[in-house]
Amino acid sequence: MKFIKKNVLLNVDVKDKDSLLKYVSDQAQKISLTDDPDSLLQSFQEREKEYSTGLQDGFAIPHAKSDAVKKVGIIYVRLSNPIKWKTYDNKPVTDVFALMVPPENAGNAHLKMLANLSTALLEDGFKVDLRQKSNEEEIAKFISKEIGANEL
Amino acid sequence: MSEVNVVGVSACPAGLAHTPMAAKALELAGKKLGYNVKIEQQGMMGPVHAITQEEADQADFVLIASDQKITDMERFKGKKVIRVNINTCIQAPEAVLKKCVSAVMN
Repeated sequence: MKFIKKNVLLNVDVKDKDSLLKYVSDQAQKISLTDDPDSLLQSFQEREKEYSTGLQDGFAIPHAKSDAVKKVGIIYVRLSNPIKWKTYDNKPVTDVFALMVPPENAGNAHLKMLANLSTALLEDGFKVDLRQKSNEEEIAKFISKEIGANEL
Repeated sequence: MSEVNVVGVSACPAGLAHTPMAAKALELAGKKLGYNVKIEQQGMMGPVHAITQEEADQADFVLIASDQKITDMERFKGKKVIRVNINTCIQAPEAVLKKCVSAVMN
């Protein structure tokens, strides 16, 4: 799995969680993670219905495990305006990591990167460092290093 | 109080993100509180950091961070098993551990 600057989307303006998930699904098609953005969107929405993927400090990790996903991928979206999302600390969301995996044969090395990213979000340092970076290239490098994406 | 040994299992519907997060959150909280905490992750990668029978035997109690079906529960036969919502474990891992310890050990 590569995490490069086209996986990073900054200054995105959406009005709510549904439009964000739609935006992510369309972007996933652009970078060849899916051929079926509608079905991907549905999978994101179904997961949110089970339980919100909002975390705290403005972060959320919507995820889709679906046949519509061609290969494991992450899209990072930084919003220009916070959106409402059910979170642990009841704060709105500004930073979104959308995780996408096919239901089978995702490859443990790739899944490990998603796990690394998720656990990195438990650390204040990671969140602070990430927010200090403001261009796509720099953010892609930082995240790749953090999750071990350059080891593959 | 003597040493506290906690083993457990985390699992979530997709087995992607919340499973490792809960395990790490609980282990970090354990370190802070001075408890030995080891949480097995039953996610999409299969069991990660699997709890051995020996570790299970030494545990004071078993913490299941999930509302999912957990495999290999036979390891924990005879142990006190506490189930906690996985999101609660990520959000407030120290409070979860403290509460479980005071419920089991007192």
